[in-house]
This record gives sequence, structure tokens and C-alpha cells, in this order.
Amino acid sequence: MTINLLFILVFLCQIILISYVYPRQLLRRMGYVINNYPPQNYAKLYTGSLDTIQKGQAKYRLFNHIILACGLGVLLLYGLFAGDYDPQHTRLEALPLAFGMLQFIPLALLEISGFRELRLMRINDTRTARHAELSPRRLFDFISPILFGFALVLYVTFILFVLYVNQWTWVFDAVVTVSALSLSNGLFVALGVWKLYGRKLNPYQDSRDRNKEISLSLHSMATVSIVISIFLLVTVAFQTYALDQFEIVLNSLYWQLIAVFGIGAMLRSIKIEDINFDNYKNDAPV
Amino acid sequence: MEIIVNIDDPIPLFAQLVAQIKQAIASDSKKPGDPLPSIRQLANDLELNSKTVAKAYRLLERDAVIQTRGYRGTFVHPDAKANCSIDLNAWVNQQLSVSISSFRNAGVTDSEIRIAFANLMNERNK
Repeated sequence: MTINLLFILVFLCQIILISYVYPRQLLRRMGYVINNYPPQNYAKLYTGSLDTIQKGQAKYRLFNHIILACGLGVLLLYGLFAGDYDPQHTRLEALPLAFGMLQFIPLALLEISGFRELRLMRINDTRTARHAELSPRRLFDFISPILFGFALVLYVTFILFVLYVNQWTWVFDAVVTVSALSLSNGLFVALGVWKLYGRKLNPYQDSRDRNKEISLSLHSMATVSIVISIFLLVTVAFQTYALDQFEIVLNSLYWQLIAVFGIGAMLRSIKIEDINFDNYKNDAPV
Repeated sequence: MEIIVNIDDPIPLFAQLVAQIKQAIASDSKKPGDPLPSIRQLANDLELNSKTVAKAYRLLERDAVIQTRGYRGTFVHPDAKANCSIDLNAWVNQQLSVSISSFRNAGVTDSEIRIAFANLMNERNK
């Protein structure tokens, strides 16, 4: 019963945080940009009409509201019919994980639309002068070596722990979990290299804003890697030491931590008021 | 410190890069030992072919304005400031104009000078 109550509370937090709080903050940011930097004066900031952008915002809001309603419905059904949670006879621990994936779909769509906007911005950019900083971008100029080292240590610790609980043999489950973590860390490394040395996506972005964005991305990826390592470590520990009943709560906390250290960190660190929008002005110097 | 290249400028892009890096050193914006961006980073930032940036870096290295220290990267040469003021292009122009004047004085025609110069350059490139 205690686990059930705890799960209901934690899952409610997950539903509200990812489908209400963060989407609301993102929409508020979009509104701030449209109100303070309108297309009449900042034409370079807009690749489509204001109407199209507002329709996109409305769709994003609606999608999140539907997911929020679904989540509350699922929670109500769970409270009414789930009874006592028994990890041996139910597969309910997958519920917060599956619902979390659904909650992140609007955010993924927003990212894709952002990439499209930037691509159009690059196509529309007719300037012939190109700028670059004459300083190298190095990993540890953007991220603390301690945070990076901690992520690395946790990755190695996880591998050693999985081997330890499996009597130092590579059983199928161990291979799957280690491969999953290695793949996600590999993706973070590739994204990090691309962020540091890759092509500039936003042609008008101020170099200071770009550096801030790189720093935040690397910091966020290292933190998410740490969260994934800890999550997998605790999951394996729960399964090994017969603490499966907490897995459902842990799965819900996992998505919340990913959201807090991903989108939440971006919203906290990059204040919209601090971004330099002068480069998007109609009469901005080349 | 920012550099700017203009793709519509008649001056070749690698020459613009060389001139701007030399200018940054001459104006003390970059000091001896300061690190420079990698070829890949600079090429991506300026949306240029990496061969263009590599050519500029090669010329700067030849003139001892920058130095590459293996995997550690590229740095401003300790004698960069003095070497920035040496203009090899101006020196080549001066040397060639002296030679061309002496050929003309000896009665060699312009077309003969051009053919001889082209032949020598072609032989060197073989």
C-alpha cells in the first residue's frame, strides 16, 4: 500500500512536470520572443509567417494537454483498480517508462521543428561575410573535468557492478544493459564533438550565446549520463537484492530527473533576456 | 578575437585568412604561444572547405607565424610578430622585377621571358 501511494505521488509529479510545467515555461518563452522581438523589426528571426508559428504553438499546447489528461486518467484507473502492487505478478513497472516516452514526443517534435527553422534560416541568409572566433574550443573550457570524470567513473562502476552481480561472467542481461549504456554514452560523445567542432546551426547566433549553449549542452549530457548510470545501477541492485517493489517508483523518478537535468537545466541556465537578439534586426550590420 | 572572410571579395579566401591572422598577431590580439582553432573548427565556423583553411595554415607555418605541435594543436610562433612583417610576396615581386629588367636590357622579348618562366615552372612541378 505504501509503495502504491508513493508511486501515485511520484507519477503525478512526472505527469505535471513533463506535460504541464515545462511546456508552459517553453510556451511563455516563445511568447516573450514574439512580443519583444516582432517580425516587423526582427525579420531574420522568422522563416515563416507569425500565423504558422502561432498554429504550431497551439498544436504543441494541445498535444501536451491531451497527454496530461491521459496521464491523469491512467493514474485514476491505477488508483481504482491496481490494488496492492505486486512486482512478481504485474508488469506495471513499465507504465511510467512508457508514459515518459509519450510525454517526450511533443518536445522531440519541437526540436525537429527548431532544426527545420534553422535550416531555412541558413538558406535565407544571403550575407557574404562570415565570422569565426580565433580561439580553439576545448572540452574542458566548457565543462568541469570533475563532472566529466564523475560520469566516466560511474560508467566504469556500472560495468564492474554488473559483472560482480553476475559472478564476473557476461550473461545476456549484462550484455544488453552494458550495451545500452555504452550506446547512449557513445551518442553523447558524438553529439558533444559535433557541438564543439561542428557547423554553426544558427547563422545569426552571437558567439557568446553559442559558447553558452555549448557549455549547457555538454553539462546537460554529462549529467544525463550520470542519471542513466545511477538508474541502471539501482535497477540492477533492486533486482539482485529483491527490492523489485521500488522499481516502479524509480522508473518514474528516472524521467523526472532526465527532464530536470535536460530541459529544466536549459530553462534555468539560459535566460531569454540575456540572449542577444540584435543580430536578427532588419538593419543589423553584416 | 573574431576574423571575417568575405566570399565575394576578389582576394582568395586563403589569402584573407592569412592576412587576418597576421593582423591579429601584429595588433597583439594574439600573442606568441596562444592557441589557434583547429583546421576543422575554423573551416566549419567559416563554412569553408577545410583544404582552404589548411592551405592558409600551411603558408603561415612556412612563414614561421604559427607552429603545429602534433595532437596538442596549433599555436602562435614565438617569433610570429617579427615574421609577420616579412612579406614574401613583396620579396618575390622585387626579385622578379630585377631579373625581368636585366632580361629586357639584354634584348629578350616579353613572350620569350614568359615561355622560359613557364617552362622552368613546369619542369619544377614535374
